Amino acid sequence: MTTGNPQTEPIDHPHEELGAVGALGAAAIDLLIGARELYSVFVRTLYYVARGRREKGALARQMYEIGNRSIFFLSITMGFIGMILVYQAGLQAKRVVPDYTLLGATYLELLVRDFAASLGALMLATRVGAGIAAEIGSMVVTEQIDALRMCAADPIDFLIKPRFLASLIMTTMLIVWAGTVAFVAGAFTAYFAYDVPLQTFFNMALVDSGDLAIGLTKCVAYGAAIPIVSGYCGLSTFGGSEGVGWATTRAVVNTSLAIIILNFFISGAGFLIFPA
Amino acid sequence: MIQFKNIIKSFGPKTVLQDVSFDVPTGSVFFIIGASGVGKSVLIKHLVGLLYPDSGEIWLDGQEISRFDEVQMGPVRKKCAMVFQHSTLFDSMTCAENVALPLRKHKNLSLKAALAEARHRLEIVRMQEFADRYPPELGDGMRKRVAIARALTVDPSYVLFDEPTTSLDPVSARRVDALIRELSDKLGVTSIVVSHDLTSIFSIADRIVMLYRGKVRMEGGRQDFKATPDGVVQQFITGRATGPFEL
Repeated sequence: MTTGNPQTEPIDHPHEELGAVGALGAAAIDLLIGARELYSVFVRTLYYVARGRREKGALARQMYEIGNRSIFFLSITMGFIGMILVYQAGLQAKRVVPDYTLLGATYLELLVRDFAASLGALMLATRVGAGIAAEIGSMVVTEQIDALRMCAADPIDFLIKPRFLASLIMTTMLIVWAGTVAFVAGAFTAYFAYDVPLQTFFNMALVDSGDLAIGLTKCVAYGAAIPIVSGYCGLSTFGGSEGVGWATTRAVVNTSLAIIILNFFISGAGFLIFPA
Repeated sequence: MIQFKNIIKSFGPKTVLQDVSFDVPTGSVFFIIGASGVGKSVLIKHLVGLLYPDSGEIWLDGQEISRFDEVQMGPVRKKCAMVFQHSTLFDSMTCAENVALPLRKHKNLSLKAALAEARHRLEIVRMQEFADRYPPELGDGMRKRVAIARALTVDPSYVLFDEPTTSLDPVSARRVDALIRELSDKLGVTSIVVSHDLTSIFSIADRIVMLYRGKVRMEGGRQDFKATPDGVVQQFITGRATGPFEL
């Protein structure tokens, strides 16, 4: 990825003549190469976080782009998701145990342990991930990445690092905010749809330190995954505007996949370390 | 002295450069000409490690550099600056900040010192009054001059120009030509210019190499090109629509 100039490399389809087995093998090799390059981007980002020089204002600018500009979108989507979740949960509860006293407590546990982080991060992947991939991809096809390298500025240090740090901080903060919005929206839904008093809904009895630890771990993991995966997709852009479009699509798909896979492993580890 | 020896480069099934060899004399204005897509830009990017050849060697001042990694390429990129076709200024930075970037990275200057030096460099290309403006606010010719200032900040021995006059008005184009000539005459900088601007070629070139179908078709001075009986070269330098030249 760093040794070639992708925008000049024509799109070819080397797997077309290999047959089914060959194409499967070639796709597996491509996947392995992609995974290795993604890992390389991650390791180099950590390296520059540890010892690279800070660009004045770059972190604040990225925190604004990732954080402030996502608040409205995330508040609206998580508010509606919160309302839908509580309404549906109330319908199910009505059939089984027509008692809503633990609706808020179980909903809060679910939000803290899983839904706030995972759903919030999936929303962020569409906005932030697509933005990062499109911006960096455009820089690749207009030779700005080459120009950076000519200026002795490593694109990982210059572009990925500030986005990585900003995403770590702002994803965590946004998810805490988004979880709060989803919970409050759910509380009002329960109040108006099922007459659940707000003081009954605001019940934190089921949330323990294990839930908080798992939720925060997910925030940090997703915060790291979004800029790394989408930044890698941007840097591996080839072709012109079509290539930027593909990079953006790949960023959203791959970041969403990364979030879901990370969710599986962190949740699994969480259930082993902090059994319910 | 720069030497390209038997450079071969393919992208997928397409071989772009086929056994390209030539020398670039120190202190000269050296033009690489040829049709669009023939591999001129690809060739000069090999010199600074933005691309790597499939085979062949590149010698820079007695050192073989074609297999250098990113770290080893650092000093090479300081010695050989590049002005890209579309200027490639960073839109989120002012002109002064753009010019200051290589000073900070290559020379490790502080931001304040780099910005002061950047303003001085912008003065040389007569862009000092636009130092605090952002690139999207400038015209093509102005952006090109800022890009040239950025390339010259690290005092390179070699400057690679990728189609420096493309998309410029005739007056701006001739000013860029004059600047390239001055670099060679006054500072002894070697300029490698990728271009198909015939006015530029026949006004400032010391040596010219023409690539045709991935190979060197002809190398020589301006008069050699004008006098050659080669129909392909003649058609290219006269810009005739019909003839033996195949795209």
